[in-house]
Amino acid sequence: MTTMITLDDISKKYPGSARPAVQNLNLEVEKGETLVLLGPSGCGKTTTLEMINRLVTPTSGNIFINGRNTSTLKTTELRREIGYVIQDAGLFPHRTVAQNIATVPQLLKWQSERIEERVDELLEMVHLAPDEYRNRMPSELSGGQRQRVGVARALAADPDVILMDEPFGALDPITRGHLQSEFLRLQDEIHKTIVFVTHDIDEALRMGDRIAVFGPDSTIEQLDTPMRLITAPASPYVENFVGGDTTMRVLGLMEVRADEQSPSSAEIETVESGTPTNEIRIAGSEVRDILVTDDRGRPQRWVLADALDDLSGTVSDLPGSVPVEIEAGSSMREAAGALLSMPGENPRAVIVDEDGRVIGALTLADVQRAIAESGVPPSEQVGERV
Amino acid sequence: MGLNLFEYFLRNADDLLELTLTHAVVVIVSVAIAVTLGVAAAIFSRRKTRVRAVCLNVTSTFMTIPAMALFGLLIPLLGLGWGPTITALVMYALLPILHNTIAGLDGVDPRVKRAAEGIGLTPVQVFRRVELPLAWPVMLIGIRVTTLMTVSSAAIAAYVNGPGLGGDIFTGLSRIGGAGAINQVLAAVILVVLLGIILDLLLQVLGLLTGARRQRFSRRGAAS
Repeated sequence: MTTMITLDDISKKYPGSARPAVQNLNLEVEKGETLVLLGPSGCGKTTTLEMINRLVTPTSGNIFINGRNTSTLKTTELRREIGYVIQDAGLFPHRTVAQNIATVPQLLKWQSERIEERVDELLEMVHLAPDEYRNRMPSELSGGQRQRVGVARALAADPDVILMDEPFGALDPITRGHLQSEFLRLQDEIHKTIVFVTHDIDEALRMGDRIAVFGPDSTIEQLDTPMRLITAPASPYVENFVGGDTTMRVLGLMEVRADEQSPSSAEIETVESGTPTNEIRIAGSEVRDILVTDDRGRPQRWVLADALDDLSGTVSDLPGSVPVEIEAGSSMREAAGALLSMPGENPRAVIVDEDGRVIGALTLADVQRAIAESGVPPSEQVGERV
Repeated sequence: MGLNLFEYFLRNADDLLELTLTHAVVVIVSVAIAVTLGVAAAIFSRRKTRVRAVCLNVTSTFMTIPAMALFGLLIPLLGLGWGPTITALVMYALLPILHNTIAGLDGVDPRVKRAAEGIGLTPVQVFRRVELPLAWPVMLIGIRVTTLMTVSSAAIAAYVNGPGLGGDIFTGLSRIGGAGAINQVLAAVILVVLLGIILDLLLQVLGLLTGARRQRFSRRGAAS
């Protein structure tokens, strides 16, 4: 890992204010990581972000990007090398979507054909059909679409570093969730170095590779991975800020996988539809519930062990129930929610891959095991404060 | 009388046309100077609240001075004719332009300005590419109000022997009851009104063009 951004003993004191907005801050952002600055309003997280692209000039200290001291660079040139996304996107309302996205490439004097190509490429990247959206005005877009354009504008000149200041803050929870997942997927492809400001703990846990929790006195209380932040808060302040709900948050950080994390995966028995029932009895010595799949391995229904006594036909003739599917990679929190809402004593969901093929199974026992192994203090699991 | 008025227009067509054009020139010159000064003052005083307050107070005071008095008071300083006419009209025209330019610039979403700075526009680029275009519709309303006001005030400039249609109104009124006096006044008044309507229409077209050009760009795509 190489360091992309270094904040070296940064302070910012505004004239006329008694307390510094940021005080002796040291921070390193690794190349390709998403570092979240989390804290209540007025904690200095936005000031810190804005000192990186010099919208705010530090009172003392140095900031290095890619080894270069930013104070030695021309401010406008520095900013053109850094993507910048703010709440509600800050699009130019009098310019079209394409013109908005093209702003920095135009400042950098790219050829017009190259700009047009880049604009279309970026629109595809943020899931807006170029032909439909290129020529729209920002007022003709929904909040979520505006924010996508804001992200596209920030990515236009392919900057190494992107600064995001509450980028999804103005959106309704559902749209925010969509954009968060999309952005995570995008980041998997583009591997930018991202500094992300938010006051929303759930957003921080979701988006951050590491999270810096700002205290009320403008210092960093804890800088850690999301999992460490939940399971080992460094101070009562952090514990309080992260809040209760520890177990569910830990589950929210875990992905559903069909490996040793869910031992039930090993026990699942699948049979292609149309298989004669008597062949199954011979194949399996112990009689278990059987998952019937189609010819491409996609789950169709559970057939209970009891029903397999009828040897006359094929599995497709036997009574069964529709299986609940969970895609690998979705959060354990969602999976746990799905399991808890299923009827029966031993709810069991089928883990499928992205093509919908069965790759495993998940039960509540698996979820419990995962929690136990995550390092959440057991006391918290029982008598959780609300 | 209607027929007489019509005959009056026909008989004096050349003179009336010339007076109307002169009137238009007076208005356009005054408004142009006022726009230059007003916009400059608005930009200059943007981050200086006290300077801005002084500018607004001074121009408001100008507006409250009775027209006759202002024109008259300028005679000792500037004599008769174009000098006092343009000066007085500019003084009256300043307030709506200054006021609307300030309102227009203030109305630009600070987040949009922040974003513009943040992605690397220079301060001049932020002003020219973002603030000015966004303030323009509000500024244009100020210019239209000012233009209409100036068309009518310019008639009073005849008091200081100023150019334009005001002369006919003044002489006509001074010999009311005399032959053709009413026609002289009516003709001048009608032309003043028509001039106001035409200039306002032209400004509306300008507004449409400046708005419409954006639309055309947008259809052509990014790099236009």
